[in-house]
Amino acid sequence: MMASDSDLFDRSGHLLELTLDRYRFDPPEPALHAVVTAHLATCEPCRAALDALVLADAQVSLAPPARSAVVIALAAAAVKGDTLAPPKSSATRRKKQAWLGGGVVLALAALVLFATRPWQPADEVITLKGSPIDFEIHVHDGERSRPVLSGDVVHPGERMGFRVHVREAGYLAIFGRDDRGASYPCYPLADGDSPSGAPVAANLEAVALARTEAPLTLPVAMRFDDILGDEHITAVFCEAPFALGAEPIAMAAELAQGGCHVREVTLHKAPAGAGP
Amino acid sequence: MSGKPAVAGPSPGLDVAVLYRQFGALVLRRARRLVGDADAEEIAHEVFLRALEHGDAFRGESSPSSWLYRVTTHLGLNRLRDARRRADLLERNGATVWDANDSGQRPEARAFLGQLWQTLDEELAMIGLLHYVDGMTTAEIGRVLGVSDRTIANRLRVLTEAARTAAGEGP
Repeated sequence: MMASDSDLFDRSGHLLELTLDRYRFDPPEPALHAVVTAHLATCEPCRAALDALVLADAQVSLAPPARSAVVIALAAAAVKGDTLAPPKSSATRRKKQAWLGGGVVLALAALVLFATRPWQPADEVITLKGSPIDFEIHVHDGERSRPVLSGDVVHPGERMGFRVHVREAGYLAIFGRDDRGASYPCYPLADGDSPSGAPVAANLEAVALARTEAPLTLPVAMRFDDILGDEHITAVFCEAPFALGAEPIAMAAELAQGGCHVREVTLHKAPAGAGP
Repeated sequence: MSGKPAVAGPSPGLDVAVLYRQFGALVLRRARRLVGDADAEEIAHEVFLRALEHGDAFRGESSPSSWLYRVTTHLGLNRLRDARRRADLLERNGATVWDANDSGQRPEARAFLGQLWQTLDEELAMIGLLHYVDGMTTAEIGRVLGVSDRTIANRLRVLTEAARTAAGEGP
């Protein structure tokens, strides 16, 4: 249902996040699609917002909790009520008490199991659920190598390398971008060892990788430059060949929409002596 | 970039795995924005439980995203009303829990975002969140909540007066 076109925009005249979600996820609404598509063609901030959503969502993997099928099936069978309005808190409590009091002990036990499971931000999970590739970043400080995760601190001069475990053959490209928004290639590299900060090649072509039985170290190493701040490292893995053009972030978002696997890790570059 | 993924609505049987795969990122993103990482996954699972509870009605919804958005917002706000969790969140993020969509940061918006939302009734807090944080128009808030524009406009008037009073501007 679409009351009017104006409902799709925020008070600044840009597409609402909800509108973009409806555009992406809901069953087709021709009128909405026509308006959104036309607006996207002329609104750069809205296109950027859509790309950012696609990229962010590509890194999220929310799976049903363990045994959820049992829990939810029992809950759905035990709870009747088809109103779409979110129930009031007290109503919710009464309803839950009703079905819990109805003897659905198994449901309660399993619900507690998943309700108390600690949340792990997606970017701390190196292995994407269901992904055909595991992707790890290692940083070498001159003496030893350490794996890094999003939020970890790195230092100028340290070298960054990549390890992958390819479960299904495909094509991989990795690029980075710094706080200034400048993108640079990480893999493949022409000389195999470059400082970060070099502009991304006009057409960085993904490299074909065959299935591997064990993790493989990619033949590249990046050396962090002296510019402090966050470094965002993005790996893109697709079944088919692809190239990252002059706008790798937008391309990564588009590829993610098309079913490619995209992972971004954000590292914080601090002066030597700061952090681990 | 304006590509459109080929996705369909929820399957007739509301397959749990399909539901999570199709809408999981949307729900988790919304929950994280409201309550932070620590509680977001729990909220998201609760949202999907609601969707399954409301099976037929959810299946008949023309915009599943809007339904999930509304329920996630509702559950997120409820979670924030828990004093202990709210204290944790405020400690981590300061007095303003969310960023306003209002670039002008009017005093009334700051008042709402800072403390006022905690004292309002559930409906008004939700309207304020959709208005000040998400930047929605009256019409869109009405569509999301399933009530008339006129009702939303009246409620927003009450909210604005309360916010102005809280901001020290008087009614």
